[in-house]
Amino acid sequence: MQLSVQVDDKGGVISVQGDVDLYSSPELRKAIARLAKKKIAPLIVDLTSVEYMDSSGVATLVEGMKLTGKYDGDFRICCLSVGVREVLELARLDRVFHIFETREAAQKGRS
Amino acid sequence: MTMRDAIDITIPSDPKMMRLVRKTVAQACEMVGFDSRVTHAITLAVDEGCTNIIRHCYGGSLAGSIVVRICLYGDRIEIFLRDFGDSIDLQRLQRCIEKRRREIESSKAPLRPGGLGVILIHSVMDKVKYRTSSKSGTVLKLVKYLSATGEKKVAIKRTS
Repeated sequence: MQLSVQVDDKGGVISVQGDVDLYSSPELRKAIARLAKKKIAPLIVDLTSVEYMDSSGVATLVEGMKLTGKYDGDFRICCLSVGVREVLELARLDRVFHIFETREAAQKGRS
Repeated sequence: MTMRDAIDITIPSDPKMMRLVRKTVAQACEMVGFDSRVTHAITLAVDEGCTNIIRHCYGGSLAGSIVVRICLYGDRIEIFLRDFGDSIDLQRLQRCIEKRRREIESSKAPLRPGGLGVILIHSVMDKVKYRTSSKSGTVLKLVKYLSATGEKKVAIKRTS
């Protein structure tokens, strides 16, 4: 898994590439925690290049939402593949996250 | 129906091995005839089973081992995940699953990150069985059937 992080006055975007699983999710967790510590808002996780995510990845996103919730940081995820969306649906979390079709929509905060 | 093929792989309890397991399971699912959506779901269930072994049975240690046995049939796939840790309390496990399922289905329950893996396993697979003993560890058996009509599409079982 590879991460790239962009922060500007519009907020922060973590772009994820590769599988998010038990092996790789700690790295994503740290990246989210670093931005949350700086109270970056909105905090967007762009999953365009993620074909596979397991419950460790889902748990990482839940933790991100809880961390940003402490400062009203508005945690958003965008560009979900069919596989990632299905995992969120199975975990019944698709209705909990703020999910956007594109990164632009996520940055604007409009679906 | 008789078994056509079986594949056995033994891996260390190392999270970086999960990618190899996923690739192997996905290939096996395709050989049986599952479509890509169900193949992804079965792969996820096996991944979650292995992840639970690594985290809960071996406590994150890389020194344990996991035996993955994949049996291919004309109408189904059966996957056995074996660990060599202590036996598990099946009644307690069942209580945890039911509690977590209620939480997930309730919009009022507090959001928490843990305990999703076993819910995903039960949501995806048609049969989930544990055999556990203090002497020989635990075997998790996962079964997924092709559709009864013989079509290559299988609905993913939902919790409601």
